[in-house]
Amino acid sequence: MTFQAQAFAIAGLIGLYAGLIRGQNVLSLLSLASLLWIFSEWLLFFIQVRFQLPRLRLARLVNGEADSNRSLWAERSLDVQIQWRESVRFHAATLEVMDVLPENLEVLYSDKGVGSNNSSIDASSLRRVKHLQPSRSWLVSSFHRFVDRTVDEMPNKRSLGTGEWENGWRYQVRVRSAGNVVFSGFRLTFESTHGLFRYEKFEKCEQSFRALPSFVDSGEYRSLTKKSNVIPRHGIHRLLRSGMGSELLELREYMPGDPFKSIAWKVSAKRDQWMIRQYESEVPARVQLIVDGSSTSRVGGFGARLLDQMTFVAASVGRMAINSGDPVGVAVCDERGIRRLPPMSGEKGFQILLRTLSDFSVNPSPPPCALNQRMIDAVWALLSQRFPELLDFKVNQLPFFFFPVFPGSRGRFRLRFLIVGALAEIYGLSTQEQVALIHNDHAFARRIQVLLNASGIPWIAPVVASAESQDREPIGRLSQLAECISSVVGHARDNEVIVVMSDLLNCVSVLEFLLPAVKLAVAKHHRVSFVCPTTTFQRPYPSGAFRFSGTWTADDLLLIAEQSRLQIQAEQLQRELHRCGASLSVSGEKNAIRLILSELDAVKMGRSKSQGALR
Amino acid sequence: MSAYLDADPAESTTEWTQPSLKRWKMFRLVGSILQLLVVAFLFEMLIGVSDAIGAPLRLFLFTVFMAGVAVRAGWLSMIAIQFSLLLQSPVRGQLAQVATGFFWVMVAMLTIISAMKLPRAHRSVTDYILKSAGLRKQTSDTKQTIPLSVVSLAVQLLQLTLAVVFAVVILLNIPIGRQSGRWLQSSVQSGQAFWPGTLWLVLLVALFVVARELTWRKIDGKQASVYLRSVQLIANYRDLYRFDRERHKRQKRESDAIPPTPLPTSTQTATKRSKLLKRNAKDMTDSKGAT
Repeated sequence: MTFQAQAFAIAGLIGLYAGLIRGQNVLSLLSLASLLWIFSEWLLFFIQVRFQLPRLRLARLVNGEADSNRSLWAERSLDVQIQWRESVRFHAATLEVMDVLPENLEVLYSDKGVGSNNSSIDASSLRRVKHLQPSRSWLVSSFHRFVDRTVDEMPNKRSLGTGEWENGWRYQVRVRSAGNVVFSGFRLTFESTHGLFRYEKFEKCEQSFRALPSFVDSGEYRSLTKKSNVIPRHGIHRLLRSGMGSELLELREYMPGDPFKSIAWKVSAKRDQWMIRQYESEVPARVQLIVDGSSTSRVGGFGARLLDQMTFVAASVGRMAINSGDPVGVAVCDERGIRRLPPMSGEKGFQILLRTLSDFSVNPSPPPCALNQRMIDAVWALLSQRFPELLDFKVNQLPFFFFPVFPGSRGRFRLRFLIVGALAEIYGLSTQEQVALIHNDHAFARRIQVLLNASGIPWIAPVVASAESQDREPIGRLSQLAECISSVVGHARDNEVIVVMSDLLNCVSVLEFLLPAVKLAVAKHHRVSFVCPTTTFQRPYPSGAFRFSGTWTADDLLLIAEQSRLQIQAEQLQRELHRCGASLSVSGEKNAIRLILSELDAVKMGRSKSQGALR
Repeated sequence: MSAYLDADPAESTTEWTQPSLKRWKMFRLVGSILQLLVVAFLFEMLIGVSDAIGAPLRLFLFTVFMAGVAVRAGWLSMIAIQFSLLLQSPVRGQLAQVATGFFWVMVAMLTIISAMKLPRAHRSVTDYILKSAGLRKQTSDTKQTIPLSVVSLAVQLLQLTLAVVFAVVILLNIPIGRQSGRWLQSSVQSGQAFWPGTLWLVLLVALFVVARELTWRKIDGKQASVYLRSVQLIANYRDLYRFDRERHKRQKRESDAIPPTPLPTSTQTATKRSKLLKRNAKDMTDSKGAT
């Protein structure tokens, strides 16, 4: 029974009473008629809920397929089609169906849907819904909403009016980041014709996909120093590319860092400039990728996490290295421990690498956090969306209690009772545990965190306290990273490229816990490169690069302030790492990829210093 | 995998031709204004039966009614009509008014319902007209072509008529006003029930029980489980809460019994630490002896 129905009933009862007392027959008749009309509305609604609604069957096709357990790609669009398996026409009610989407998906809206005869939607022409609405004044937008209520409708939601029916609808979404994509089901809101009664239900229709990280495989990202990039054909084992073999490949100009023994003296004398002999490579250079997925790199929405930048760089480097025949290994470490995969090559190896990165991108259980109101609001919203039937006052009843007395506190306490009742049903808790959850803030917060995390909510403010609080103990994180590097070095052969991807910008003061492992790797003739992702997704600007512009906004100024902070931290970090013989790239995904490719080239050509060691 | 990723993009369910978009918006705007005017006229007709209400009060009621239309709150519109009736209809009126008021009530109820449904009905009607005129095309995905199906309309009308007819029958049969004295006389003479409402009361209670039973039988297994849990919790809440509180107290007592030992900050404080540990151990034994 909605508020509308309750208000109608109260007005009807009062009107009936007043009419009978004062002997105003028409008033009595109107009031009584309205009460009977509400009752008939309920009766019709009940019949439809009881007998018609269970016949409704919905199915979802993702990219034209109904089965799940397949792979999707991050940052690409998906075509989702919803079908009514058995269409039911409701003559005295309206139905709203919403496909509940995981947080890892972003709904796309078609520009070309309006004002175009082209029936197909190009993925490149899709843009986000929130940017579609032009800015309007409150009055204009209110009137617009009154005239056309379809404006606020989302593509993943569909309303069927009284007597309407259809076969289904389609919409498009974009995968934000690597990890899991779980379509949980449909939220059905069934309402009587005049909105007096409402029934909400969550229809399970689970489809689970693994989202693989996106990568680039373009010539734009090739290192300038790498001249030959030929994949050996089947049956030919000699690698026709520059390296430290015995067969001469080509002559080229000298570049700083090239070994003196490779100088072609006669040719240099003839051309009057330093020339270098390049030999064929006999041994492929190995790349070892180390990805640090600690708490700091997982905080934030999907697609905006530092981890997403790292997986992108790792996948891109893996693709390019495997394309040129270099085996790629990966080691991942976080609170769950260290996992290492030996270097692999070929398409199969690349698929294993992607799957490993994808599984690693799934957020583990978040670190414990104190209970706060935002957390309660978040879990209430989630439960209302996915478990509306468990929050019904009729079934989730509350005991009588005196305290708290004040209405606000009392309301919050009742809300907590309801949430705990639903949580107890979801996790099968005993009544004793239920009472403990009601009165123990810590246990309640922990259970909420688990539910939010299991429901695919990213590590945002309600789930974890904040990024800063997670960064209080960088020593343990660096120690684990050092252990991971040592493990990789222990299993590596000579002269490999070790790429460490970790958020180190806030750990400059405690870097001594990491540096011994780096020194060990360098001492064993490996090349060590660090990639530090940044929250701004950009390389820090060089000092003094800012010139005042009259059009700067507050956001621009905040970005500049953040960039300045990053610049200082990056300089300190670079200084420390260079002392140990490691190179550093601070975000700039393209630059990070270029740096690693340059290091790879340097290993193949035996140069002591890589070209394009960008920071 | 690439074939899977390069699946055909979606087709929009509704297409618009560019020149028709402006016309459609204008049409919808004009339609909205016209429908609002019709509803306003109907309300004025309903409350304008007599001049019992002064102009300021009439304006106030009109504002309340239109506010109900604007926010789709039919109950607000109904209150406005009820209030006007309360002010202008005769006190201790004839029972025959009930029968004659049938059409008036029908019109009033229709006005309230149409005011509630105005935006949605308006959208459906305009869409239907636009589709009929060929300004808006429909793809094969959507099969709906009738804005408000005849069946739905008939059901709603029948529902309303039945409600009003039943209301008339009930009001004609229960003893109100002058009828009550006459009925009391006849019932005392015949030695029957003291109040004829007994039958109605029994019917009402039966209806309530049936409705409640039907609602209760609608719940599914999960809801039943939640209900059982909540019933168990309500029955044992005080005891369970006491157990939980006692457990907390015991845990706290146990944790307090072991005093925290501060870690030495340097090698020089190692001796201090050993002294501290000894002192703590002594305190513990003293406290045990005291208890």
